[in-house]
Amino acid sequence: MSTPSPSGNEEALVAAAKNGDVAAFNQLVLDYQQLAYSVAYRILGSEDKAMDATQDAFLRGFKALHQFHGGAFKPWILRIVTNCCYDQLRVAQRRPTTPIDDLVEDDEHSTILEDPNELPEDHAERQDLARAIQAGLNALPEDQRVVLVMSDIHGMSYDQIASVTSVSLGTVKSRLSRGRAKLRDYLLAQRELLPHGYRLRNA
Amino acid sequence: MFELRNLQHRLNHRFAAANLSAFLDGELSGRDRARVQRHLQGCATCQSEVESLRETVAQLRSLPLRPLPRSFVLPLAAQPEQRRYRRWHAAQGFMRSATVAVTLMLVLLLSSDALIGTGAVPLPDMMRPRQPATSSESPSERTMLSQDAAAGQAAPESEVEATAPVSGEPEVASLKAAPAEDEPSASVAAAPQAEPTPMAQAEAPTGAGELEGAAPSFSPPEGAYVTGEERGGAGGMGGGAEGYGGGYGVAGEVEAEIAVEKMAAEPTPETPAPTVAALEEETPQEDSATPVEDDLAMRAAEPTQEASEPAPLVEASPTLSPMWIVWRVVRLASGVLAGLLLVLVAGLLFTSQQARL
Repeated sequence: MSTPSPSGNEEALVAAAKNGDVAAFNQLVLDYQQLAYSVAYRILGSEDKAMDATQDAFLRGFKALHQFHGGAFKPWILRIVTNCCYDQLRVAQRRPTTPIDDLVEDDEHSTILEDPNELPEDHAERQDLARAIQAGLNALPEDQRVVLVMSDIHGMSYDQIASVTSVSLGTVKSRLSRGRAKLRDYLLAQRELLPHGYRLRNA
Repeated sequence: MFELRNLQHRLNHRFAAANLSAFLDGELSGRDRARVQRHLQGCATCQSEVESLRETVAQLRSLPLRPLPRSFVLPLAAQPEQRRYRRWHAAQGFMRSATVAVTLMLVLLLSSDALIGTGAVPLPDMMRPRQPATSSESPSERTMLSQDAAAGQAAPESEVEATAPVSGEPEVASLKAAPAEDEPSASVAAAPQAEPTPMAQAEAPTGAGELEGAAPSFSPPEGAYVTGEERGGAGGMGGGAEGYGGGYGVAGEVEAEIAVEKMAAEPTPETPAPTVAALEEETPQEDSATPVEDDLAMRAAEPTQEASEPAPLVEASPTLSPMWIVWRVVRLASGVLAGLLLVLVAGLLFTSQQARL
């Protein structure tokens, strides 16, 4: 995902940022914004909300930097991102101005062809799959979705997820287990529902 | 035997089904992993389950990275501005709540002044009997209490002075007796006097004459209400709470009554108190005027009539009712707090405005 800066450098940046050095903090932002935004997007399923959550997370992170006592910056900032995502979800719950269907945006189709050798059909199919997965994620309970995004999209370990989401290892395990099973069922149902279906790729 | 094996299989199956996900992730301990693995070899259901889960994970992993719509770096220039604004904002937030608190406290102070004579607020069992036994207090204390003294004496019912029983609480007496000078920090000084001090009684005589003499000299046109308000406004000066008490007719009568009873009940031999004693002895006798003043004499006459009624000697003990004490303490505390908060708000306003420049 993102390319975290060497830990020594990161410590120096954190120390400088703690003293109010915005430029130093912005270096950390550059290192982690791709990860933060990706997590937020997968949790929220909306580009706008993900942007809000990400910006909010970095602002909050800068303000709360004095509470950061060493350790890795990544889980710390991801925890803030997650909390901002929960806040966004609360807002959406309180003001359900948009129908739930609109939450699944067509953003996946806007992706530019990254691999010039990829056939247009394959590209379209990949985007369809991405859309289906995002829709399946959106259908999951929030807690399971958060864990699933961190584990399966961003490859975090159970330990990391437990510390980021402030729950026990066992909770991470069970949420992930249930979330995966539900997502699988969702994708299978999608494949059966649609006439031509998705060709689910083998691992 | 078959039953047992079947049961074991079911248990293993349940365990495996619950742990397939963690098995996939390599998050199982060695023993658990071996158990799942062993079960997988003989269970087609679990095999297909783990396959489908693996496929799902692979699909999730294959999701393309979302391109960043924009950069999220914080604006360099805006940051200090924002911080300053935030500090100012925080100060404003504090001041808003502080203002509310001050307002509430002032309302409490003023309303207690208004309610105190109406019976809505508990009156002490024995209203402040004016014992002029204040000579024991240091002169500074007296001056500090002077505001309240002024208040009490400003009140038209100066009979309170005349009818002070011997066994009264020195705090009351002192408030009344203190020469009136303007000293802003009355409340703090007044606080420690809540308990009757025997010292004050012992030295009563000297203070008495002087104080009684001084009493009539203060006659501001305003009654106790005004002083109460002034105290509220000044914030920290709410302490000498007794000052206005005499300002209310009802209270005054009650006081006088109590005072007389007091005298009847306890002769307090340890207080020789010549001047005071003279005053007090005269009050129970119907028509004898007090030697101090016409006004005083008139006032003194009132209580004596009431005193002739056979009132039960409830007030014989010099203890205050708990309700009354609580009320006093609340008022005192709110006065002090209101003053402190006002000072704080002023200071904050000043500093934050400076920070803005």
